[in-house]
Amino acid sequence: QNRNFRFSMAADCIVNESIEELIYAWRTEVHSPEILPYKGDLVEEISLLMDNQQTLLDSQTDRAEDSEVFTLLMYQMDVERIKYSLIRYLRARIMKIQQSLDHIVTSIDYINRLSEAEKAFASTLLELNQTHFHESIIVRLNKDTADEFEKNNMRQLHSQPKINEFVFCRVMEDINGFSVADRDMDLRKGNISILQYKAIQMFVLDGRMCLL
Amino acid sequence: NYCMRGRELLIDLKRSDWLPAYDEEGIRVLIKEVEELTKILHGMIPGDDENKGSKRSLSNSEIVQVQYLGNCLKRNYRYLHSYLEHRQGKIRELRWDTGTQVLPEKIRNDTLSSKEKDYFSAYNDLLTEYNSMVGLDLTASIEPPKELSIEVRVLQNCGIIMTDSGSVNLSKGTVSYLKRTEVEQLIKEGLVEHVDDQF
Repeated sequence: QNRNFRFSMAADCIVNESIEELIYAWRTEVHSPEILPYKGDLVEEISLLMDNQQTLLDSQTDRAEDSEVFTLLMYQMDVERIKYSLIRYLRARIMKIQQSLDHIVTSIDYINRLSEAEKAFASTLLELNQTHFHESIIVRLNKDTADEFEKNNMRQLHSQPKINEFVFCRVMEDINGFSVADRDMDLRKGNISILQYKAIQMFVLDGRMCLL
Repeated sequence: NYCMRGRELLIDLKRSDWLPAYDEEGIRVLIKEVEELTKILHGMIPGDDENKGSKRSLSNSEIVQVQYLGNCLKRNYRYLHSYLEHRQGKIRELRWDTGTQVLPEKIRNDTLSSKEKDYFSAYNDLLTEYNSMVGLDLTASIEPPKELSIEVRVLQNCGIIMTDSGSVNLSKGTVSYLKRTEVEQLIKEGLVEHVDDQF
């Protein structure tokens, strides 16, 4: 009886709302053309809960009776699923950072959306890329030619996020007086539309809309 | 004729399954063209700030030449950028797809330039560092987890591995039932395969 009590306490610890928020965050990040602000608090909370849950599970495994093994597996499975969502969220961001690297590092706004770890990653990757170009090409050019080559670096232009593309979005909170293409619309919570990202950018950033 | 070699470089990239061998010679030709074009253009374009007084204007045919050569030069810049960047991307992708920290032998010997090998190694360090900072291996779990343990058939001898439930001998041809997280890396490297008997 004691053990069952411990189990239910553990289960309640992983709050459903946080997980739902993580899944929304992951999906929105995947579908948004630009890098979004890092949800540090959410990530930290979920990581902590996962660690606690795992520690609890590990301590139970050795002493588990046969009848409890299945329950343990289910809880373990749960942890795995949450870990998967977290991995996908972080991975979506890293991929986007790599894709738009040159553009991100020249914008304070974008830099501030990265976590500390991501900032370190981005700045090192930039260095790596530049070193590689330098070693492979620049060193073999005359100084003047090299300067011209660098001046014509199109990387920043090419790595701009495509905010003109259309995205599927869902309204999370009522939005009044939204105007797009000369039409005024009221967006109700739960509405799903396809809109140009540029038009709804601010709503995605403040969480009033999420992407699908 | 400028820009012919550059075009070939890119066509090579497109044709290949992953990456063709690093075309050292092609890059050399491109660099030579860039130097040549830069020199010619500097010779033709009149007037730096020092010569402001003695600027002579270009004849029509010279204008056309400058435009043409300028475009060739820009195109070569783009060839160089695209070639290197595309390969960089593929190299990073390799690290993600296989999770391998060491280049496979064939790639190491035939395909990449020495600078690219350095890039792979440095990128590997960077990604590994990031993974440890966030406490997760981001290259794991491409698919949502469906079950905790899976059956795997061993394709190549892996020797004895330690698992949570003791040591397991993974010899070629055997089938074992192991935790997914433990064998994921082996599946990625092609050493074992997932036995899926649910259709």
